[in-house]
Amino acid sequence: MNNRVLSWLTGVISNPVTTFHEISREKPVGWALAVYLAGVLLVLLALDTGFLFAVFWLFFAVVGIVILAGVFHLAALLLGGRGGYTGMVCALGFAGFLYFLIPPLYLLGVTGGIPVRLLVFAFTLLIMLWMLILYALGIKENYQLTAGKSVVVALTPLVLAGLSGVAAILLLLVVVAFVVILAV
Amino acid sequence: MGVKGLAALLIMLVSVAATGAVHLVFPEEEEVVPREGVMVANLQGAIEEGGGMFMAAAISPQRVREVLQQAEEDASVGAVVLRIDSPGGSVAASQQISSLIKDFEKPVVISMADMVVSGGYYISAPADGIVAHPGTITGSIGVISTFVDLEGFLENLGLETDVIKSGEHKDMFSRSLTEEERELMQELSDEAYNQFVEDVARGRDLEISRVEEFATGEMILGSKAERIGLVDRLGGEEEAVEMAGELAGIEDPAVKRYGEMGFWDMLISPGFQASSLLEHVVLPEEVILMDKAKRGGEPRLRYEVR
Repeated sequence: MNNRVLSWLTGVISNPVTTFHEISREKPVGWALAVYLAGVLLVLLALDTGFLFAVFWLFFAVVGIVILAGVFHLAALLLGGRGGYTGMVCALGFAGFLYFLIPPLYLLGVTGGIPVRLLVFAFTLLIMLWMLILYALGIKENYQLTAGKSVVVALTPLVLAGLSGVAAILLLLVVVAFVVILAV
Repeated sequence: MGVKGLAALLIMLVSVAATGAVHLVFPEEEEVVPREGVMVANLQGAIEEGGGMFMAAAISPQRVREVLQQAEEDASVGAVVLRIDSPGGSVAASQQISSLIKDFEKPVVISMADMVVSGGYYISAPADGIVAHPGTITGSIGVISTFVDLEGFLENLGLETDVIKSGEHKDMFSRSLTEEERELMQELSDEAYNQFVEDVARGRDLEISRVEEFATGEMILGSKAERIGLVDRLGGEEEAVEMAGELAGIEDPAVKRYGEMGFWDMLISPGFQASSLLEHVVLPEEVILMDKAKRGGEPRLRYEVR
């Protein structure tokens, strides 16, 4: 692991704007995926999910980053952004460096009392929020979008997931109504 | 390597160390072995073949098989207590259940409730132990076969039956029995009786002549049954569980109850009663009587009380 990659890792935390600007220009996709998968693997090992579950989640993580980058890419292009899909994958991969913070927090949580656990829970939520902000910054640097549009793009998967949930519930209601009508 | 590089390495090292520390703090959990116990299953009603949707209130080979199968598959069950309340029933079903209990690998103890007579006792005999209340009615070792002679009934109704038969005795239950046919039926009954006596003697480890002494069809109380060796101990379900625990080598066994009444049983049983009620409301009395008479005309040897 060379000095440049190490400085990007720290940069994701200390100076994300400049770091994502450099990453989107150089597109170190191999390192990005390695950092992301190492982070996910460490979390799975710390949580001791079991072998099969870990394999499933690793697969899900790989598929997830591909799809997430795709959704961001399409949304950014629709809002007038100019940038490549690979650059987006790289930004997401390096943002995954935040996963490295979860095992120490988990250790604190399992050894501490209830107040510590509550703090750990709050910190974990903060990390998730931080990751979302990193996504927005990565989108901004990769697609040369304004801050507002970048936030909109970053929130697109959440909005889509919410809409899918509502659609699924509506579909279920329609199916139930159909079955009831048939039964009557 | 600059300060930034060192900071990144430090974060990664702390993360890896924390992951390892989590496993040191919480080593692999040992598999929790559930406390060994005794499964208690309630079996009530007449002993009949079948056991389908409408047989929730009967003791059928299928039901007993399900109970024993569950006890076999559950590693935490060391022995089984069958709490029985039955007036007996069909010979074949009784013999089938008797075989299931005899061949079951884990100890089986019978806990007799109010009445366990005839076929009820037959299925109890091969168990590893029998516990009865002093006032439990048991015994009635014998065979009975009754059927209705419909000749006079049909004559009164003005009905005539034409019979075309191949075989001299093929229509013997459509009319009054001849003396020869009565002897034939008696032979069948005696044979089933001998099987009953032999199986009780084998199951209870008694001499056949000893069993024959009280195999008169008479009913006896649990207190007498214990004195003559038909029952091992006096007591209720708790004593039966205790005995089952002793036989399985389990100290202070946990009691695990077999499903009292499943969803279908709850759903179907009242429906069955309702259909029976409906039958009495809708059908003319003569039709019901005729149906009963027809069913009574089916000859069956039974280990039951009449």
